[in-house]
Amino acid sequence: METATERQDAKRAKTEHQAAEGAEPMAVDDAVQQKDAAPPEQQQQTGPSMRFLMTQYYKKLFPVQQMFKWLCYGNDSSHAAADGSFSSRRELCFTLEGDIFVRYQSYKSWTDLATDLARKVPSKIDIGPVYTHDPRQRAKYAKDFKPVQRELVIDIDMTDYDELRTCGSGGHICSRCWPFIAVAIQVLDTALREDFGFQHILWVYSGRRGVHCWVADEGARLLADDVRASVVGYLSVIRGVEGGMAKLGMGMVKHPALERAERLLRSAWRQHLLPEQCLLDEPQHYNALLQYIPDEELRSSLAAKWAKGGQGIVPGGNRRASAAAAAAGDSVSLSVRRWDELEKAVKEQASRLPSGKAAKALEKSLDDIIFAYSYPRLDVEVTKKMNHLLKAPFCVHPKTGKVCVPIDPEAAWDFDPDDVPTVQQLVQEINEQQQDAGASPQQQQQAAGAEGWRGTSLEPYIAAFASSFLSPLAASSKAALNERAQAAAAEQRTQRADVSW
Amino acid sequence: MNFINSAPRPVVGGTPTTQASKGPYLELSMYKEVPTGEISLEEFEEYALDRLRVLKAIEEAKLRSKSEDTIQADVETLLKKHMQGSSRQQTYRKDVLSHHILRLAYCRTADLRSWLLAQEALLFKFRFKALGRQQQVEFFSSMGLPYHAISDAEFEELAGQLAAVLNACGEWDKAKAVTSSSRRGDTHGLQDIGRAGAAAAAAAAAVASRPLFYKVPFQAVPDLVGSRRVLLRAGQAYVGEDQVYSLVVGAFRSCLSASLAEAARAWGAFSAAEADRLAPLVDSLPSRSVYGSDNRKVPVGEISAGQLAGLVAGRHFPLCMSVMYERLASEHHLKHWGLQQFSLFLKSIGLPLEQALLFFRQQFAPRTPGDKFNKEYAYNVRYNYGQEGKRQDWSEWSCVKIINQEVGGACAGAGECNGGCPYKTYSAEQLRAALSRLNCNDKVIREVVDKARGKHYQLACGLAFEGITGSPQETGINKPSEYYASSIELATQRAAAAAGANGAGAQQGQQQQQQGQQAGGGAVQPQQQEGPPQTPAGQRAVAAGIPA
Ligand SMILES: [Zn+2]
Repeated sequence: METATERQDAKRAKTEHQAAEGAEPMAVDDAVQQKDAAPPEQQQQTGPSMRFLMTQYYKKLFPVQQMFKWLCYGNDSSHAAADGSFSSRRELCFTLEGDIFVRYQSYKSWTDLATDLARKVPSKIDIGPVYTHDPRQRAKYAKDFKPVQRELVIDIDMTDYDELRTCGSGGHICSRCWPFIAVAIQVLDTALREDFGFQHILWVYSGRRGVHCWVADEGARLLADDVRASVVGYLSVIRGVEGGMAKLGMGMVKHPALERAERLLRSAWRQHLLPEQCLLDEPQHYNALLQYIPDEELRSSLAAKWAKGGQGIVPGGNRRASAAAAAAGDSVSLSVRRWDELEKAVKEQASRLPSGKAAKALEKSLDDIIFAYSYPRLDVEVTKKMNHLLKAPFCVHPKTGKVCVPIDPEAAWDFDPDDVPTVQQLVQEINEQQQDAGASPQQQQQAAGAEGWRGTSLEPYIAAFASSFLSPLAASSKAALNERAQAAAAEQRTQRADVSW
Repeated sequence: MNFINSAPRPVVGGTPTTQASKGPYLELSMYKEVPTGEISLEEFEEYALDRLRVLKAIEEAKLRSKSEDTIQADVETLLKKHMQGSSRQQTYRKDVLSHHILRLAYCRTADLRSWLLAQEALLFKFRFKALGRQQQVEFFSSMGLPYHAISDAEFEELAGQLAAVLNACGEWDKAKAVTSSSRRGDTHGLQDIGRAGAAAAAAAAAVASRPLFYKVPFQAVPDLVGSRRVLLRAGQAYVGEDQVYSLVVGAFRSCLSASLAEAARAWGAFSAAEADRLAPLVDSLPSRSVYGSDNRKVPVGEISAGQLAGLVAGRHFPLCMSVMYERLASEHHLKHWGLQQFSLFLKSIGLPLEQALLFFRQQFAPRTPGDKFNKEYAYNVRYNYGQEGKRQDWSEWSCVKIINQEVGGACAGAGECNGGCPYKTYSAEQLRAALSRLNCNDKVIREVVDKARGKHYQLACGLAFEGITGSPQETGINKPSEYYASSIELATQRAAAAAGANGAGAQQGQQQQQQGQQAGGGAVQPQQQEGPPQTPAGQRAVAAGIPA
């Protein structure tokens, strides 16, 4: 009986899901990219099946207690003001094998969730909003069923940087294009904290070619859709790409938030993006960048100079030479040297211009380049709607096997997407642990609720999730509950006073 | 007739207050008070349509990215033209009544609610901005919003950044005012504008010798935040005194939003009580064309089935109809709603019933034998011409109806079969392809795709007109026949100009004729962009570019 309704739900959910998220480009893209991007383990088909691995993952590795605790915001406690229905009003959406979406799942306790995960073994879990009622009973409430809160989320996808990055495209991600993401995290994290005053911010690697941000402050969770859209507007500078050039929503004088962003971008530009992306090594790349300089003569003289400089080196070897130089740390990389040349040439030319306005416009083009290349590119639709689904942290990306682990924004530069533990590796680690311990199959079974991730390469990520995100959040949630309890008590006192009056 | 008392709470508007009617602000209302009293059916309809005219004009101005100042001026003109009564009281009455009628008419779906909310908020904003400064402050204060102006100490601390925001917005003078007052370092103490009475607030504003800034949660001013026109610090936005409109509009929005939700809940009761009288009228308002029938005339005169191919080739049909024509020509089939949409359009541009039957029978023939056609489709065509069923003279579908048409079923992928608006149903890729087949200018195609992505389908259609004909469509497109009419009119004007300019028109005309004949023969070839139709001036407009 349950399966029948679920199947129906799944079918409906699929259309709703697509309606909600547009054409679902990720799915299409993934299918296309799979051939190139699948890790060798999968291509060889020698290891255990993904289904087997995921079963093991949910049984022993997935931090179900911590995840559930997060999504309850203290309402799972025995606090007087706790809302016992809270967790069962939160939608989770599962993607089952064969891309079947099962929407509107909800759970009363972490053990219920753990049991269902072990049974359904979803290849992906999405987190939806908290509704007015249990989403399983939404039909009963019809019009009164609507979302009331969810985290403010941000999605950054590497494919939005495809026309910029020189190391790959589509599903590709590597330590050389990571700087785009790292600087985006820095800029956005700072703005969310300093400008919007948010404190409970979780950054998560999406398992493949992007990152997600979850802002869990109560104020963020309650934002109406139009305010979410305004946050997007405030944080966005790039208003689209036309003819290979980004259109920037930024005038001659910058808003203080963009001034601050510029400082972060400028240091990342010389330290990471130019040397690691080799943006000015090869003609197709430097010509694209030079487009932003509104002075034809300057553009062509620089291009001509660089074209000469590039000759005589091993064909296609510029990048390697440049990267090697950067790695050795003994000399400035070719792209950085060229950038310095460009900057100098622009400033000189600007000083020669008779009109101050034209000079300023020319100098601004340097800023434009830096913003166009390194200012965060948001997938804006994801942020705008309270009821948008977003993949949960600690999911396993079905194509790469990588776990969606949290990223410390302070250490975003040190994060390497290639170092992220995969489900294959983690399952192997547990097996080895158990073999070392000589555990019997019985004991292995017991590992289910016993936090099997301890001692694996997943542990540091879960520990960081608990210490830097969950515990400060728990303190805030408790304070909020106390406040609510006090308000309720005050209300009661007033009522009593009214009666005696 | 008392429409308010005839149904259980048909119009809902939060807590009734007396301030709106007694206060000095007849020019501007928060519409918190539910109107009572008598209104005739005619007035009821007229008021609603007049207000819609204003709202739609503002929407269009906004979509055309007109400047704020231009729209501000437009709004004044529009209000004078459509909303002014014989006295101040009459104007106020019309304003309040028409607002409440539309509130009811637009409460029923999320799309309608958000449309009305957006347009009413815009109208409110422009009207608030038109008030004098003193009135603005008083209105703001009278709302009792709990916002405080920042202290001198905070002003001193933030002056640099406040000025930077103003400079980034191009408000050089205001930025200068901030910088210079901060250097003077006057002391004023905390200005509590919010809870203070109107008089105190006005006084405070009057004596303030430095620009005032209010500190409010950023959620209260989404438009200022979204366009980076405020300084944000730790979740607080610093709103300048000339930006308080945003706070006022924000309060207006949330008030109206709640009222619309409440009206939606009350709709069932209203429509049951008013099923025979007001409900159908109210129900039809959102899909009504607000332009008078004299605004754009479909060229008079009949056209024949044989001329249709030429009209399509001459690119006189809007995209929704030309794709349907092509689909019909290649697939020899349309689904029910597609057939409805298309045949009502053909009817509205002057294709008589017998010609319509001839045309559809021919087109359906390869897949649907004559008797099957007669049984399954002819009825619908005759019905549309008022020859069957209710025998009503059905009019063509408006763009709103077409846009809202559910495009489902077997042909949903292509969209044409079931009708609908291609600017909504097509992917960007499909749209680009379809428009370039119509020789639409590439640059315009990009803009059209942008507009379509932004859900401004009618505007996208208007832009496509410009890209295809090389001439802007000024009047807006609310029905497919309006696109057609504008296109024919343009062709006629160009033909007249060509004929008047020199005698060489005849030669060009011949060329046109040949192209037209080719098209008529079945192959649908887009014509050259500039090709002026051969019709001599004075000949019937519909003949332009069409082989006789
Ligand atoms: Zn890379």
